[in-house]
Amino acid sequence: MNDVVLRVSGLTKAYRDGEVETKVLTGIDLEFRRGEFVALMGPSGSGKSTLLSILGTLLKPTTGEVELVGNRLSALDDHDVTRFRNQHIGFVFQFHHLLPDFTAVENVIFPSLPRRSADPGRDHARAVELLRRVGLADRVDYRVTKLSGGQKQRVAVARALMNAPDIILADEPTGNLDRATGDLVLSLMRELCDELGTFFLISTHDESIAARSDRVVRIRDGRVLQGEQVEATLEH
Amino acid sequence: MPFEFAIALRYLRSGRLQTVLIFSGVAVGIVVFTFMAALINGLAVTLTNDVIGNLAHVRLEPAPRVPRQLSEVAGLRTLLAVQRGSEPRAAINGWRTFVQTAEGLPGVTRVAASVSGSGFIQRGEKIVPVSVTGYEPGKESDMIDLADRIVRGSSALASGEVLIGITMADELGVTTGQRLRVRSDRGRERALVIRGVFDVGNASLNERAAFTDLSTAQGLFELGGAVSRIEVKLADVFSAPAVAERLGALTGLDAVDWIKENARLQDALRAQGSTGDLVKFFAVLLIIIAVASQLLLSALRRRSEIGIMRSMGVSRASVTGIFVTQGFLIGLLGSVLGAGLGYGFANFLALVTLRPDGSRGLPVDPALGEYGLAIAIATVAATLAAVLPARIASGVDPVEVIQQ
Repeated sequence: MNDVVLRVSGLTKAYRDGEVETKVLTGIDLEFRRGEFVALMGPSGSGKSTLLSILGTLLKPTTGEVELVGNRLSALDDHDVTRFRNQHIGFVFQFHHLLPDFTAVENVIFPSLPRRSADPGRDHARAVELLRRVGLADRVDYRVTKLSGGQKQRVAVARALMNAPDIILADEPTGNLDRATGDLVLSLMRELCDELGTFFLISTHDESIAARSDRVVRIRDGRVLQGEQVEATLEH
Repeated sequence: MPFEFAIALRYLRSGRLQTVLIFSGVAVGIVVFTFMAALINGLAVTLTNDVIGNLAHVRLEPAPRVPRQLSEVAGLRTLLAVQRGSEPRAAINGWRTFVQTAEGLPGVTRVAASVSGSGFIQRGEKIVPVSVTGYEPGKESDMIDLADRIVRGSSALASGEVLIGITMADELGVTTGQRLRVRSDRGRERALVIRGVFDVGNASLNERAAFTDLSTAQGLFELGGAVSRIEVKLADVFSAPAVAERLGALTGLDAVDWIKENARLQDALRAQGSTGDLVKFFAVLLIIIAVASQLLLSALRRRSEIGIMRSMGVSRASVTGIFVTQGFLIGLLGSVLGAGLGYGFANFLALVTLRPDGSRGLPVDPALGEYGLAIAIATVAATLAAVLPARIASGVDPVEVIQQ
C-alpha cells in the first residue's frame, strides 16, 4: 500500500554570496503519509520556513529530491511546477495573506481560477460549502477586510482546501492569533485532516500544537533531530 | 471571462482614485491628440479650399506644338536647333467631345470649357490690366463660386456682359449697368456692360479678373469656335493627379492638376502636418509614461498579493496577463472617454469662434479629429506600456513575500 504523500531524500539547501556559502538545510530525509497531522518544530532560523518553501515547490533545493504524490519535482519545469502546486498543495500563512479586494468566497475560489474550470457554478458551491465548514456561512460575501483575524485565518484554511490538495503546508497558522482563536483554527485543521485525509504539515513554535499532532518533526541548524537529540532538546 | 480579465477589472475598480486619475490622464492626452488632429486637418482643408476654391482641379490645355525636324537622315549627325513655332494662340477645337469624355469619368463633378486671355479695361482716362475668362452661359460659377460671391448685380451672364472684381470696380469707379471698354492682347475691342461685381476673397482676382460669356471671349481673343482650356472639378481633390493622367491619355491634351501647380502649398501642409504629428506623438508618449508609472506602482504595492497568487499556482503568464489587461482597459476606456471629450471640445471651440458670416475663426473641424485612430493608438500604447510593470510583477518571488 503506497499512502506516502511526500518523500524527501538527501535534501540540502545552501545560499551562496560570493565566496561565502551558507547552509540552511543539510541531509534532510523525511516521509509523510496521507491523513497525517505533523508539527514541524524548531527555533527561529532553524530552517523550518525554507523547508516548507521547498516542500511547497516555491524554492528549489540545492541537492536532493522531493517526491510529491509520486512525482519527482526536479523533473518538472517552472510551468509544470506551478500547475502541480495549484493542484496538489495548499498553503496557510501566519498572516493569512488574503486578497483584500475580494470577498471571502472569492478568496476561497481563487486557487481554482488557474484551472479555468468548465463549471464555475460548481466551484462557487464548493467554496461556499468550505466556508460553511469553517464556520463562516454568514460571511460568504463579506470583503475580507471586514473580517476578524480568526475569521480571516479560517478563510485561508478554506482557501487552502479549495482544490482538494494532497498536502497542506501551514507556516505558523496560529502565530498571529490569540490563544482561544488559535485553538479554534487548530481544531478546525485537525478535524479537516481527519475528515478529508489531507496531509497537514504545520510549522510552529507552539508545543501545544505538537501535543495535538500525530507526529513531530524537530529541526535545528538545518538538520532533522533524531531520537536522543530530540530528548536532549526537550530537556533543554 | 478569463480570470486575468476579471482580476484586472477588480484591481481597477478597487483603486478608485488612482483609476480615475490615470483614466483622466489618458483622456487628456487623447483630447490633445484629437484636438490637434481636428485643428491641423481643419486648417489643411481650409487652406486647400481657399487655394483650390478658385481653381480648376484639373486643366486640359492644348499640347504645345513642336515643329517637326525635316532634315533628319538616318546615320548622319544632325546639327540643327529646333525652335518652338510662333503659330497663332493654341486652342482646342472640337472641345465638346473632350467635355463629354471628362464628364464621363468617375469622380468628376463639373466640367467647363473656357477661353482666357489678357488685355486692358478702359474707363475714361483709366486703363487697368485684366485677365478675361469666358465660360458658357450657366457655367460661370462651376469653377469659381461667383454666384455666392456677387456683392452687386447678378452672376448670370449674357452676351456682351462682364463680371468684375470689387477692387477693380472701386478702382475704376464703376458699378453694375455701366459700360467698360475691353481691349484684348489680340487688339480686338468690345464694350461690355457690367452685369455684376464679385468679392471672392482673393485680392488678385478681385483686382484683375473679369468674366464674360464664352462667345464674347472667343471674339475678343480671335478663337472662332475653339476654347483655350477645359476645366474640371473633382469630388476628391487629392485624386487630381490620377484623373489628370487619365484625361491626358484619353484626350491627347496637356492635363495639369492643381497639386502639381501648388507644390509649395503641399510642402506647407506637410510641414504643418509634421508639427501636428509631433504634438500627437508627445501626447501618446505621455500616455505611455503615465500608464507605465501607474501600473509599476500598482505592481510594487500589490507585490504581496502577487506572491500569494503565485503560491496558489497562478502562472507568471497569468500575472503578466492581469497587468497587460489593466493597461489595455486603461488605454481603451480612457481613450474612448478622451475621444468623446475631444469631440465636445472641438465642437465647443468651433462654435465659440464662429464668425457672423458663418466662417470659422479657428479652423477646427470636429469631424476630422481622427478619433478612431486616437483610440487605437492609445489602446495599443497603453497595452505596451503595461508590459514592463507586468514583467516586474510576474518576477515577484513568492518566497520573499511569504517570509517577510
